[in-house]
Amino acid sequence: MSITSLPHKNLYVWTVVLTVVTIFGGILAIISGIGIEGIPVTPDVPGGCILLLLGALLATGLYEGSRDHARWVQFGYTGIILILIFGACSLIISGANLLSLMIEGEASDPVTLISSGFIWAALPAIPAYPGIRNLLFGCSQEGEF
Amino acid sequence: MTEIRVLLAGNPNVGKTTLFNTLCGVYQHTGNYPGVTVDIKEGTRKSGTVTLRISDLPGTYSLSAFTPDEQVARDALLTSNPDIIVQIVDATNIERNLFLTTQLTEIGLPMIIALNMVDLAQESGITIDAACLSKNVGLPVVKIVASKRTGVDELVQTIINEAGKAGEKRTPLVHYPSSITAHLDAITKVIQNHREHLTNLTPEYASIRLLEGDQPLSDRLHKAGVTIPVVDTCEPAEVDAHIQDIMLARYKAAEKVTSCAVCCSMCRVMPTDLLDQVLTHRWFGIPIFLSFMWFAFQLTFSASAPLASGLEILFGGITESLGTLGLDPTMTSFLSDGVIGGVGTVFSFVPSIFILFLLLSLLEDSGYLARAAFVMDRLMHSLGLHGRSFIPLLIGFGCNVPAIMATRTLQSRADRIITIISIPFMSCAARLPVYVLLAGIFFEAQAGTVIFFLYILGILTAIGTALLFRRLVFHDDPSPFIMELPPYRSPTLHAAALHMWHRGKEYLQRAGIVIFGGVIVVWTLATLPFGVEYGSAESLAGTLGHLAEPIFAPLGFTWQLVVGLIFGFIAKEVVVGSLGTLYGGEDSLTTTLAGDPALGPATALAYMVFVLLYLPCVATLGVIKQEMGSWKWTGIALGWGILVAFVLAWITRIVALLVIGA
Repeated sequence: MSITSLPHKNLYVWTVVLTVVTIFGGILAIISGIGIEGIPVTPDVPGGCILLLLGALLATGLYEGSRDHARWVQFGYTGIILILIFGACSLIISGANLLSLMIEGEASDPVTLISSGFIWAALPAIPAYPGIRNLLFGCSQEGEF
Repeated sequence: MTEIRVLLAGNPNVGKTTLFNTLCGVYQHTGNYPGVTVDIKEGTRKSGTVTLRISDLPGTYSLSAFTPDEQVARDALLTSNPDIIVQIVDATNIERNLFLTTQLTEIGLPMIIALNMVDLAQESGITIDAACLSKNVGLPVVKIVASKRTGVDELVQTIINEAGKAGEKRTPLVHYPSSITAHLDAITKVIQNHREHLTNLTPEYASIRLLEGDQPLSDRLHKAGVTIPVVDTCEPAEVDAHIQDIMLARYKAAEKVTSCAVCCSMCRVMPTDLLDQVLTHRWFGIPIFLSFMWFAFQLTFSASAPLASGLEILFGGITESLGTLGLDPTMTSFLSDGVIGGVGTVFSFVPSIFILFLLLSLLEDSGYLARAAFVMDRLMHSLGLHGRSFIPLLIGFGCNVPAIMATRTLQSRADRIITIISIPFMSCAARLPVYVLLAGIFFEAQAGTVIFFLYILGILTAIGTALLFRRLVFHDDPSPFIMELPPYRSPTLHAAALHMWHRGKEYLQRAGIVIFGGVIVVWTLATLPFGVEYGSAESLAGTLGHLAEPIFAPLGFTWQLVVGLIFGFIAKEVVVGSLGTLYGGEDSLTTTLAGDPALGPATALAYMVFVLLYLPCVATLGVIKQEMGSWKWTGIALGWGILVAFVLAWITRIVALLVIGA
């Protein structure tokens, strides 16, 4: 089955969306981190760089996937799983920071829980995960898609 | 009561220690990468009237040992004369594991094959006919899953049954070519009259070892005046040819046994292989590894913060209530400034340490740590460090002591020395409280990133040290890096939590003894002579700090910080304990340090860099001496650490003053 036939085509297109969101989230986190105000993403320069790295990983999968389907699945799966792992870590970090502020009696805003660039990227990654996982395991069994 | 001596042998990372833990009901550290066990661990298991005395050996691929840990395994197998050998074989990789079986069977001792991880083999589409395998190798084969305790009771019963069968003649597994057997017969004929020099080896097996070039055995026989046929007259090229023929015959035997007992029904490419092409990618590999590390330190700092705050509030409450009890002022000062201020402050950082251990365990158990060594190999090799050195370096994040012992997996002495000198620059968990305390006060929201960069600085300093020593002292190239990458496994929270608990418990025990002792000394020095204000410049601690303060003047350290560094030599945990004692008072240490006008972000950063890089603790120094076997190299490691710490802390302070101000 090729990427031009369903359901792979949808997954491929969704990976394009995910790549754009990830790169966009990374850029916003960096811009916010260097002090530009009014951006709805938590300021985080190193985190932004990691999002750009993940975006590059997904983009490499898309680029190479146009010639070699296995490469798309490999890069796509790894990129998505990393986004989900880092998204979960980011949620724990934001939650812990919020809890610390509450314990110390300082002002806390629950919105910070979901304003990290990683959460932005993780949201579209969640529906893509089962599909790409099936493709990876299918690929490993059959040797092709 | 009968006692059976059992040796657990096998290739690296096949689950020997997991089986050992299951059999003996103990906890020895396990990890999903080769080289976790570097010395022999002993344990017992009772079954009815029988006691199994079990030894867990370091992993080895063959009995021709190259590294110190392999030598330990080989010596135990060849000279300790156990009642039975249990070889643990990875069911997902039988053929490679059977190469060692071909050698172990030649020793002539009773032996069992424990086929581990049969569940993973099944998932991978590998079907193993255990009865057929048993018939082919001439040994009992027991299928087990050590991590789930499956088949362990059957294994114990088989050990008891087989241990009594010593001396039974076994059909040879390996069929050597006639040229080799002729040589072996000639050697056996001569050496069977000199059995007393063969330690516990049979003449037949001793002949094979001699033909393979076993130098210690050959030397022993020569000393006894024995002329060894073939071996003594062989040219080096002929020796190599013999070794090659012997190895080839063993590989053929392993292949033959596997081909008729093991069936790979799906012939699938493992997802592990597909993922590895990305995670060990030449461009993406290192950035992905750094991303993991960055998140690990963000989590360590942030996730532990609420618990640390809770503990700080608890200890603050206890200090306040002590004041209302009407105790003797000296006793109140001892309890509040010494015990709570010192030990209590360190304990409030325990959550950070537990979380760091949990995250390191998750990385280890998943199999990613071995990939980290692989992706770093190219960089490290070009800088003069062996790629395999990266695993001991990473273990150094937990504690430098096991990390230095883990260098036994390195083959070359030069690689070992270079790695041992580099390891103290890896930031162990004991230094974490200093970073969490100072970064939390002076860098607030950026604390996690500051801690991450400190760890990176430690890695860079270790690599720089390796480069320098390789270029200036050891001029040879590092030996090539060959490592079997373990499969990825979903880390279970239970196993990771168990690892975390055991490592954390060790830390707590140290905290209970070493830190308590350390802070008592500091409190006494801060109290004496009687009549001076507690912790003042006139106290003994103040005098000591002021004496050493000029040395640290370029770094901007106050005398209290200097005293912390001096006592940090006992154990790095004592640094924060000392600060807690010296800055003792009604306010928490955090508040007091934040309000000290002599301290600012630049000085705090320089102090963290100094703590990261200066003297290893006493325990680490002891292990360095033990592993290096030389005071000269121990002294070099010590002096180099102090020099590098001073220079880099000074540069850090200058740069920080320019960039972020005082």
